[in-house]
Amino acid sequence: MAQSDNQADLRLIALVGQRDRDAFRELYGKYQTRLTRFLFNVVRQPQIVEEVLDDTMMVVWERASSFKGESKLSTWMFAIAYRKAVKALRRYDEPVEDHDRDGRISTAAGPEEEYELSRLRRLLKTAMAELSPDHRAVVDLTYFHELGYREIAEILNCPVDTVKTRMFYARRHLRRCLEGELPDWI
Amino acid sequence: MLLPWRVNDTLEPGEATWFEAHLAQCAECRADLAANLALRERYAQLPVEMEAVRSPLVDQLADGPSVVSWKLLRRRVTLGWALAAQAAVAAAAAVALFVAMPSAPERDYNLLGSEAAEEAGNAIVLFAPETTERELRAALNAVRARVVDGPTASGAYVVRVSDNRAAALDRLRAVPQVVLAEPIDAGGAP
Repeated sequence: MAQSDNQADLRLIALVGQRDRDAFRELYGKYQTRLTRFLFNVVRQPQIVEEVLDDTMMVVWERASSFKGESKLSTWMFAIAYRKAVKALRRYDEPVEDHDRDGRISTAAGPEEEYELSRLRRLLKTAMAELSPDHRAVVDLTYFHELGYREIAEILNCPVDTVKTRMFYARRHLRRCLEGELPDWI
Repeated sequence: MLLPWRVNDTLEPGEATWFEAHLAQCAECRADLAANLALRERYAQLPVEMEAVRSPLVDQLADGPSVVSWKLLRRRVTLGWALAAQAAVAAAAAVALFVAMPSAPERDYNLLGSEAAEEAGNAIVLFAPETTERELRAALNAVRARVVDGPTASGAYVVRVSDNRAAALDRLRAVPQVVLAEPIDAGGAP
């Protein structure tokens, strides 16, 4: 994150701490897509994602004045979201399966390239669904949100070695599932 | 182990220098790096249906705080929370500060925005998680508020304030343990 972006975040959260609703809306708009994508990949159930997103933003609203800037605001918010996601998964206590995954990806055969891309995406989504929420979180924060392992450890509240180990096993799993599918895969 | 973070270019300068030197002499890691770059590209392109999870919470904030309150009221509560609510009310009844709550239904969730709650409650109070039962009781007792429902999954209580509600809520907001104290008006219910 650029320094100016971080400063903008600090300004927003300070205003939110003063109960500034416009600032809260702006902050929500800024992070909604990133948080939703992250939560979706961790919990994989839209109804839980909505609840967790609400819970996360309620905590941000309620605790904004307690944010001291010791970490980046994004790290703080992702950490809240992750904790809420884990709690929600425990509360629902049901298998986390992506029931709609086949419906979201077209399986219709089209042009060859499109079909191959669709097939590869389906394989990758299936492989991701087979990982635990903790492993999916590390993969998503690394590959999509492009965070460093130290920041990921802070978000997941675990040692950096745990982050590295989870990523190692996640990559090994994905490698097995996608064997021969990626051109440069060894 | 560092390769994924070489892929997203977040290694510390010292680590990056070491890694580049290692790559120069390790064909296996170079191939692994290429594979991971391809994997990251595919992963980042995975579609995620997100429009269905747009939260109404913030969209409705401008409508007033009671909308936020109603959002809390409508939160699904698991059986564990429902039982906790029962226990909380039982304890409160013992000290004659709270009225009885509806018993927990025999199902896995309970919509707190039920008809009974709409009729009885006229305010919602959210306490900080570390608030003790004694502090909670003292805060509500000070303004003669009685609990009619809750806690919700977010830890909010629906209360009935018979006296001057605005003044009572102002006093509640001044309590350090109170995160939120807002009126609930029948007309404000979604």
